[in-house]
Amino acid sequence: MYNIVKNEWQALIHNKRLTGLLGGITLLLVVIAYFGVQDARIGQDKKQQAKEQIRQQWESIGDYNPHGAAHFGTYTFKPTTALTALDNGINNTVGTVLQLEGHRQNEIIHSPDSQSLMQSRFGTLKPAVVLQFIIPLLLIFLAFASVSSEKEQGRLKLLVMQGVSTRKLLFAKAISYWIIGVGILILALGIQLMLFAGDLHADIVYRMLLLFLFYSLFYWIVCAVTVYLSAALKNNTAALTSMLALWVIWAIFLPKIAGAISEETHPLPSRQAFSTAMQEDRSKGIDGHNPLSEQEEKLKDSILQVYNVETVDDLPINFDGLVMQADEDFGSKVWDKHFGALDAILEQQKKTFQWSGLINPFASLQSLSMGLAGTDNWHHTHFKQEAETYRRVFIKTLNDKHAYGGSKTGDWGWTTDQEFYNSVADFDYETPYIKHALPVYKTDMALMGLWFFGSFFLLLFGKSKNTLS
Amino acid sequence: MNIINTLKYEALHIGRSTYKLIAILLFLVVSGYGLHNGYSLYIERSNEIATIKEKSTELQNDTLEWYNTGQKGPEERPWVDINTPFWAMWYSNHYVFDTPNPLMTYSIGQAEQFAYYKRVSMWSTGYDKDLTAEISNPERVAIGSLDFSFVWLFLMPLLLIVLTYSIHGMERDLGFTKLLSVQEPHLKSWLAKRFVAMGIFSTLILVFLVITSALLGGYLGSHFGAIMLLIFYKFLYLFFWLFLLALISFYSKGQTDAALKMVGLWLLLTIVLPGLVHQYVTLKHPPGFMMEVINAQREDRDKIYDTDLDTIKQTVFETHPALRESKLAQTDSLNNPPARNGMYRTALNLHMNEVMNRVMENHENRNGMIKRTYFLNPVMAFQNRINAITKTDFDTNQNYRKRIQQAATNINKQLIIDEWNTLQVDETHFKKYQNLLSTDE
Repeated sequence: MYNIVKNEWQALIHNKRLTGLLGGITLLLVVIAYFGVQDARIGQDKKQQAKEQIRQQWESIGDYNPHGAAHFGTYTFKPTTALTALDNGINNTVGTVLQLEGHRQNEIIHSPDSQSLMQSRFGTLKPAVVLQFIIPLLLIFLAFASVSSEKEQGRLKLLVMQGVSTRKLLFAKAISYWIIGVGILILALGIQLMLFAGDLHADIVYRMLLLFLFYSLFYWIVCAVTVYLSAALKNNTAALTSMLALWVIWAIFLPKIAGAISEETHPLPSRQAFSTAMQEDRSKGIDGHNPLSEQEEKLKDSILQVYNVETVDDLPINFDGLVMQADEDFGSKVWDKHFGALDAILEQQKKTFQWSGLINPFASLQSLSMGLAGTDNWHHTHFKQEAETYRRVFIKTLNDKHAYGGSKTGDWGWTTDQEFYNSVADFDYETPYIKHALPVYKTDMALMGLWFFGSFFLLLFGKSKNTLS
Repeated sequence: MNIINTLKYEALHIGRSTYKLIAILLFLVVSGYGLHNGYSLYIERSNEIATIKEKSTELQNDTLEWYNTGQKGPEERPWVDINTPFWAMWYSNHYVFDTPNPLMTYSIGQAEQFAYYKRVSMWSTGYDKDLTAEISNPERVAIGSLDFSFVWLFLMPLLLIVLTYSIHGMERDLGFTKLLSVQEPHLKSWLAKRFVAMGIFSTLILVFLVITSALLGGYLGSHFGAIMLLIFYKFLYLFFWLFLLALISFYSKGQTDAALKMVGLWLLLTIVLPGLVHQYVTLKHPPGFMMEVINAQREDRDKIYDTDLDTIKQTVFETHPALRESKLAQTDSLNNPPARNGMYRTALNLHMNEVMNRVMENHENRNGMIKRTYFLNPVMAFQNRINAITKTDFDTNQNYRKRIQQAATNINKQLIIDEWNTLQVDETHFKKYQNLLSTDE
């Protein structure tokens, strides 16, 4: 087997066109990996500057009413990780800015793609685009003639007569091209490791190892299927066109179809319907800025009982702060209910899309790649939920100050000093460890494994009348 | 052989190849699906707007009823007084829509990234946080939708590759090249005729799909010019590809060589170059966090509210000179909180107009660079041109944002004039408020 692999590589080295293509792709990979890292660094710097500016505004708010400060709020910006430079995932299509304020849970807005004309339909040229679209195509170009040309030139029969089994031959051919794919993969990940050496930590390394594993599996699938078709079909042209057709169906066609099907089988509500349902639920609870609501009356009675006084003016605390917090608590329940339902639909859509991996290993790879790079919807939702958790603590701190900080009910002119505002911690988001995200991807991993073994068995037991003809 | 005969033989050739027939059939199915997706989005958005308008009219009718019964506002909000300009304007319930164009059927473009309706008040700006796109699955949006423009700009070249990779290549593989000269003395002319035949077949498919869908959708007459322009650009695009593929075919050494080069070219023009340009533009003009807008709504707002009324008045009077003649402008002392607040609110609106212009200027710089790279990125040049015709491009959205900002300015202008004339709003005035933005749609 080693000799066949060696022969394949020697033939490849002598083929100037293929070595040129290989060299060109490698150079392209180096250039875009560098650009990707520069892009990620610029993004991180801009985010840091924006974060500092927002904090500086908060720390110079001066003497301010706590509820006024809740309306002033703060902003957080969608984080990027070292692996964003590798796979941008959904980052261009989702927003980057989130305002955290009292009374409402805002959407993350201002996505990069919404700030300019359309520039590409397959996203920024990050290494993942090359690794997902171009390297498989390169492997197809390298492998499509691997057996068919042996057949066309009559060498296959000679090899078989010399005692080489066709199984061994097919495996050796597939392995020789697969190693090239893995080599390019190591190069791509190696460049990322070098350029982001300072930001590396264990979780990033685990993520990269898993990326390496699944991309390697996918390259094996591509090599094995191509070599098999090269053996099974009549000639080079038939092998190449079949494999190219398969690539187009896998990489271009099916993901879009699967995405559309997942949205149609699990439809999302329109924004208008969603907002109306939320507003309806919200209107059933306390409204912090409507003193006449029935719910507020109930709250007032209970507080007056606790403090054993007749009117809110007699309370030693500021009842307005309690109303605001009750408003927040109710609003949070409504948010949890509606956004929970929305996230559940998105999860169902994801699952439906993942099952398309049964006929399309590319879909599993694409899904795993953005998941492992932390640029998928699961990580985006995690950020959104963490920001919401912070918002609740942030607003409660302000409402508590409003209620128990020393002011009396109705005293909206009461202010607290800068020291208090400085003591309110800023939002620091940590990307979750990959172990938390992995359960979301078990279907993709299982299907990728299935395809790997399937392609293995295809080479082992796949029969074709054309192999030796 | 003349072109009619070439067409006949090409049709026969395609008819005998199951592989090519399947490719054409698949292309037709996907095209139909792409058209369906675009049209569904158009219908969905039109229905959504109709629902919003219906609800809005209901609310406006409720308010009109309050005027008839002498009620000042909703019972649970006793502080509301619809006889004051502020609350009357608030309950006028103004919306600005980015009404979808039926040509969306042919390209969804960037439409899914943008909001298309907004309730506009005196506080609104073109970059408000509620201007968010329709709820959708971000992973699906990132993968992209299968609309007709994707089919035509990205899949059609692949169909052409399937149909043409064997032209000349097969003759070379079989050693028939010299025999060709018996049939046709000039190889180039033979090749050109065969590619033109493919172009004619593809154009027929295009015209059939576009015209049939426009007829079925009932917008052929109303959008005839734009549809013809759309066909023209897609036709240009088709021949751009045919020219490149014919060149490859002419110089190729065989079918395999041609297929490799053609797919390589497709990859270069549709994935690599657009991706590289995207990356380059992002590095040169990184997308921002709209800090100008955030700062305007926080720091600048505080500064405006800390400025003395006379200075603010001067700025607002310069922009809205009619205010100089208002009732309150004639008095020395101003003891009218709504009028005072209105002056600051109007100043903030004017400031937001300036900020909006600055933000849009930044966007323009970025877009200028994208346009300058079109010679390197022809596929996206065609895509953006088609998006512009179907009104699903960035510029259409910018115009929508400008209309929102203008609507907020119009509301503010009317409001401050009425507040400074201490107007008591009645039913007639309220109806005027209702129609204030009617030309905006």
